Amino acid sequence: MSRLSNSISRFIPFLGAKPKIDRKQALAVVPVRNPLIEWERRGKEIHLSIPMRDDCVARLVKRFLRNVPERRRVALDEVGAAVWELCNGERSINSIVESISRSYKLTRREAEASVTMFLQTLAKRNYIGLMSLGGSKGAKRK
Amino acid sequence: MNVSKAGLCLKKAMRETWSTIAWEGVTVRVPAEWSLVGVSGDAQKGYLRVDSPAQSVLEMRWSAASGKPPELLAKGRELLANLDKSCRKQGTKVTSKIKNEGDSVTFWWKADRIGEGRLTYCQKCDRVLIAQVIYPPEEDLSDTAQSILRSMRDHRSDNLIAWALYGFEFAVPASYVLDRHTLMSGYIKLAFKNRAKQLVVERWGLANTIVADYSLMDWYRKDVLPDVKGFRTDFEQIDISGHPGLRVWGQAAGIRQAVKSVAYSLTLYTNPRFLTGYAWHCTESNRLYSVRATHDKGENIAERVRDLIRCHK
Repeated sequence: MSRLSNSISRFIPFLGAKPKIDRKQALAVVPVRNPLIEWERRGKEIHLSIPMRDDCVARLVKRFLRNVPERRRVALDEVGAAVWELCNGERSINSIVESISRSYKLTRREAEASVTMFLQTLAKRNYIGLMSLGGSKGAKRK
Repeated sequence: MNVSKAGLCLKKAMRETWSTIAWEGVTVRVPAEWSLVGVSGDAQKGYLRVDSPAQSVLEMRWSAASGKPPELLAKGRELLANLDKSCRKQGTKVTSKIKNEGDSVTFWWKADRIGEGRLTYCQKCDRVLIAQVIYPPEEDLSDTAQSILRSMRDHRSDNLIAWALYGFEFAVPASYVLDRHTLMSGYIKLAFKNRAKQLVVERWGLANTIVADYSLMDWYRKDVLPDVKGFRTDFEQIDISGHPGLRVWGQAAGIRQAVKSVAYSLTLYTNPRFLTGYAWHCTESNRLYSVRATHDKGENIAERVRDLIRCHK
């Protein structure tokens, strides 16, 4: 039943059940960088080079607009860069929070709030994927 | 190791691994990894919730007793009766105990979770405090819960109102009431009001990142001064508790302040003509602190609050 629900929600998101995970499970999730994104460190910042969409809509837009760049650039600040480097597919969110909290002398709560919000933004833009303990990508849906 | 030394070590460990949370003068000590997740209300009636990283919770409520000492035992029984009622609706059985301990009442209950609580009444503040630690049965938190409940305080001995959150501890005179607050990760701001006088206490995290490309003075001009309106300000660089810091002072200027002064001259109170502020960069805690106050001539409220902030241990 849950597999069916997962399949449905992939195509019709509002029909799928919302993922129900507690805080502990959420912190055990492992963020993984999108392999299509190229990145390089420039001083304290990290610059991401993100390929533009290549679906029919993007091709249509390209036909009408000239000089559409192949890649988009995004700069991450010092703390964002530190989090990005830690998203190596081995560390859980909990471990990233601990590391950031230690490096920047933030309280656990402060670090957790900032890191989770930042990771949510990255995940929403598909810059990272979230791998649950079971090994499948994306938070498990019930 | 003898007993007294062991006691000392334990006390020291407690000091290091426990932190203080204080809101509107209501103070409690909790394990350092527990953190404030919600506050509401004011000095008369309010609520505070602190969560552990696991599933334990501390809830505190306070309310004014309107002059006469309340029946704490009756209040405790009422609380347990309400709990019993709501649990029965959910089909859960509750067992509970309540005990009068003279100046306070303690209670214990067990349903799908365990709760340990304490009720106190402070004659000086005329407030009833109710606190309870709720934890799942698999986490044996009884000792911790008792330590938390015993650490509950309603007021400081020096007539100042204690404020402490996320390791940011200070106190303000009782005449200053909280006007607005901002609790963000990496930024805390508490603004107090005493008639027309204002007191603003702020803390920023990630100080190294914030002042990496600016001097402290440039940062202050960019981030803090836009909030200061109607004062002509000046700066000097000073050392505050061994940290690089700033002293800011100013005098009311402009039409708006003149109009305000005229309006206040019709009342019993005066419009503060002076502004004093301090800001410093504590490298040990990697934080920036700022205290600023508007005041009458000769008052030193900003200095008093600045001296009460412990920026690092």
